[in-house]
Amino acid sequence: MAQIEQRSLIFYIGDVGFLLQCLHIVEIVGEAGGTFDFRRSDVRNHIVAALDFRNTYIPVLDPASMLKISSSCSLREKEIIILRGSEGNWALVVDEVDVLTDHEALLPCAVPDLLKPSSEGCYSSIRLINNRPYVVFEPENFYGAILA
Amino acid sequence: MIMKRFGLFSLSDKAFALPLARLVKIVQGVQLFRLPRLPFECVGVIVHRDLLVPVINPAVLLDNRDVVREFSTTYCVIVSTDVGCLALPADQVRQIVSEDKGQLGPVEGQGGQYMSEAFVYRGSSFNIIDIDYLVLDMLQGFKRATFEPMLRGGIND
Repeated sequence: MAQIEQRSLIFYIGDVGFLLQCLHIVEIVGEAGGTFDFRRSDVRNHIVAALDFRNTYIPVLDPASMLKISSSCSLREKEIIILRGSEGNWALVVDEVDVLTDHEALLPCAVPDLLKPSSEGCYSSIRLINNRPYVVFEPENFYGAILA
Repeated sequence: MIMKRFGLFSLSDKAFALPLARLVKIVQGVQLFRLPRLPFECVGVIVHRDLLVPVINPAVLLDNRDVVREFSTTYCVIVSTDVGCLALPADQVRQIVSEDKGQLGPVEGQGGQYMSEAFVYRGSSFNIIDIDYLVLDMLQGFKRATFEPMLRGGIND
């Protein structure tokens, strides 16, 4: 089995597939239910709520609007992935968490030049799995910088 | 001298012509995938030979600025541009015709901003798509949409 650094988690927002390197992940919480505190939102920075995680409130980011993806899930139905960043842990909400995949199974695929202006600052690489594109999720584009 | 030829296809009730030299391949029944932050001109991508090919929004060809949310066309006409391939949606693919079999004329009807002229063949008019202008507008349109509101509103932050 591959090392954790060599694996990525597949998740979906709307009908778009993403890959997230496992080294960024602290924990996958699953559905949040009623644990969000919406009074602590900062919509301008795409922070939709705060989440009590291990007795600390951490920001919850919903990247759907920033990514211009329409999602049919309400926030309470979404699944939560806890990520580590330079400013501490933060929560990413996604529609569906799928499986882990080895990096060996991923085929690099360039972002088309025509789409580079609109993807700038949002994503920069894509991989193919069974002829389906998956966007490599770059956490630093959404909240803080990743710890080395 | 090599005779210029056109590939003819139709989408909805409109007919189009493309210089054959730009046509790479016509694919049928391919799956469309969405990507984040697609510009209006693009409805998604298809995978062709392990490469992603942006698919042009049918609204652009039909000169209908309403966003087309459901993509259900039968064919994708893949064409080459200076910045890689792109795919045009098509319901029906006609034939390949030499320029001398018809004649060039003005764009049929409203046409749309990306039609340069029309190729008239056997009484039917096929608007010729100016792919280079479409590509240029896609690239510059994003800049306009991004920066012009900032310039108009001033820098407040």
